[in-house]
Amino acid sequence: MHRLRKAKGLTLKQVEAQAKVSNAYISQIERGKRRPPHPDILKRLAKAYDVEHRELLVAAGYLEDSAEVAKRREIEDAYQHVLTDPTFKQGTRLKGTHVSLETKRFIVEMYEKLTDRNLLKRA
Amino acid sequence: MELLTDGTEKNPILGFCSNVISRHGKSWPPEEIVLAEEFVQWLGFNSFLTKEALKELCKDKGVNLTVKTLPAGLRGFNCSYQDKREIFLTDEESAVFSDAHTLFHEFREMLEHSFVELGYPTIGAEQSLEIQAETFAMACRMRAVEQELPAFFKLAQNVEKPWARYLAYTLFAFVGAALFYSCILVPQMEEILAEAKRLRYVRT
Repeated sequence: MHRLRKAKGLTLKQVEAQAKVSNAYISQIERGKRRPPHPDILKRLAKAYDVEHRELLVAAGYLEDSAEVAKRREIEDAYQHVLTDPTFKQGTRLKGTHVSLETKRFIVEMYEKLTDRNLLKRA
Repeated sequence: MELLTDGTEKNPILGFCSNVISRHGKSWPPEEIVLAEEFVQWLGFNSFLTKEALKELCKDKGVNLTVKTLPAGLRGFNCSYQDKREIFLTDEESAVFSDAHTLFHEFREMLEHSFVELGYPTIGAEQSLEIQAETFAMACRMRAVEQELPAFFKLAQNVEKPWARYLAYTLFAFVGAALFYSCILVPQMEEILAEAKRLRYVRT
C-alpha cells in the first residue's frame, strides 16, 4: 500500500480526502499495524489510487491471484498425471497425511527429471 | 528386467525380491520382521554409518540417495522409472536415527513395487503400505541394533580392570537400551520435535 501510494505520488492527506478514510488508519495499514481493511474500504482506496478493486482484494488476501490459481491447477493436473503413470513408481514419508502443493510440485519435478518429460510450463 | 548370466541382476532390488520369493514363496507373504532381517543383511546396514557411507551403500544397490532440503512436511521420497531409482531424505534436523528410519521406509515402498512387479504383493487391498513401511523401518533398525550389540559387549569383555569392565558393561547396556528404544520411538520423537519447532516458530 505504501509503495503504491508513493508510486502514485499521493500524500496520506490526499488519500484521506479522496477515499474518505482517515490518514492515521491508512498509515497503520501501510506499516502493518492493522489487519487488511474491509473490502468496502479497499474499494474506496482503489479509486483513490486509480487501480482495480480486485488488485487490492488480492493483495489483502480476500481473493486469489488468477495466475496463482492457474499455476495451482497446473501442478494439481501434473500431479494426477504422475500418480496415474504406471511406469513411474513413487512413495513418500510425510508429516501427517496432507500432501502440500509444494510437495506435489517436487514430485512432479522428480518425475520430469527421471522420465525426461515436461509437465510444467517454465517461466 | 534383464538378468545377467552370472545371476547379478541389473536391478539389485528386484534381485533381492526374487530371492525372498524363492525362499518364502510357499508361505507368502513373509513376516515383516523376517523381511527386515534379510534386508538389513543384504544392504549391509549398521546404525553408525555416516550419510556418505549410506549413500555408497545405496549406490551399491542401484539407488541414488540424496539428502537435501525437501518441501515442508516431506521427510522422504522415493521414485523409480525404468532402471533409475532415487531416494531423497530431508536435511532438516529431526530425531536421532530419523534418517535411517526414513531410508528403510522408502526402501520398503520400493520393495513392494518390485514384489508387485513379480506378482507377489505383500500388502492386501485393505492394508496400508505407509503403515507397513513404518513397521518395516522399525524392524530393520531393531535388527541392526541386535547385530551390533554383541560387538559392544565383546569390547567390554576385553577391559582388564574388573571395575572398568563392569562400568563398560553398564555403559554399553545403557547404549543398547537407548538404541533399541530409539527404533520404536523415532516416529513419536519426530512428532514431538516438529510440534516443539512449530510452537517456537509461532512464539517468535
